[in-house]
Amino acid sequence: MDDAPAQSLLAARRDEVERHLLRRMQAGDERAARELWGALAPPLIAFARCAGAGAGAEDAVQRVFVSLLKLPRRHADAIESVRAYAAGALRNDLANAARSDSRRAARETAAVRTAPRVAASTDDHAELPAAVASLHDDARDLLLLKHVAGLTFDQLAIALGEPRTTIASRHAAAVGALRALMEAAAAPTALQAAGRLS
Amino acid sequence: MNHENDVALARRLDAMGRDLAHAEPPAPPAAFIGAVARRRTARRLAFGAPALAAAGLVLFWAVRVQVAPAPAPTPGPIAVTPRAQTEPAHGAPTVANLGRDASNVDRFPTGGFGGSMDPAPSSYHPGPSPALGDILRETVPR
Repeated sequence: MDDAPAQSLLAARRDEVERHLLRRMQAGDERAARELWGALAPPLIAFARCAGAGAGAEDAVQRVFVSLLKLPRRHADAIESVRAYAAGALRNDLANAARSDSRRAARETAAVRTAPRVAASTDDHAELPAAVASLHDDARDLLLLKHVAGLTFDQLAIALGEPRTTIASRHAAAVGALRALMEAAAAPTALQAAGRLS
Repeated sequence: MNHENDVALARRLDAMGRDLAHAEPPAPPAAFIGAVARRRTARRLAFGAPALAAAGLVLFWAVRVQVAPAPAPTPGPIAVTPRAQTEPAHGAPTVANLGRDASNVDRFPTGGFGGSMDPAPSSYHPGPSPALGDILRETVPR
């Protein structure tokens, strides 16, 4: 499940473009700001919604963008991947929001878990969001950052502050846990179907 | 077997992520775009103010050079007043010796006022001057 070299090159090129857009945005270029928002906001908002931010997902992403805008120049120049930095900042923002208002966060998380937002809800992965949401927070965030926010393992290592090999191991474990969870959820259904058939 | 299932599950997660991320491309919030615009304005002010000050300084210097007074014209010949008109003739009454009587000078010792026998200051040497009567006698025609 490792990234292909072509994907790594593509991600590196994308990082370069996004760093350039960040510099222009910090200089007050509105067009660059719109372009960066268009590139980063959709996957980040999707991640925030799946991670339990609910209706506050867009606000959280906007806070991250404003923090990017106000980032000191020397810090902005040191960013390797704007996407990874923004994802890490968003995860921290969501964690802070959950800590400051745990009851509201729990309510919204429950809402997401009971009514997962699967816009193009094909039958193939209709049950996936609910299964992902039922995972442990760290495993859930890792899977969402990888598959919803679209981070590579290198970018995940930056966003989560852990070595790439550790991230890869944790990802494999999270996918295994998700598979086990879905198999366990499917087993009673299969038994019921078998009962009806017999 | 589990590995193959995990790979298939990862692909399903990728597909789910694509659906979620591209479900509704949002427009950037007005507050964020406003913050970018304010930053642009602040940046222009930050860079523009010193440049404006420098330009103003140069303009002030240029205007000051333009309105500076022209150099004074070369002085022409100075009209010379005859000496006889500015200085009194020899022996005529002047402010220095008018009203001073030579007899008084002779009466008081040179040691100074108040009867002191100290020598007079070196600068106080009125010298003999003609008595006022003599002056009047010489200047006023009879």
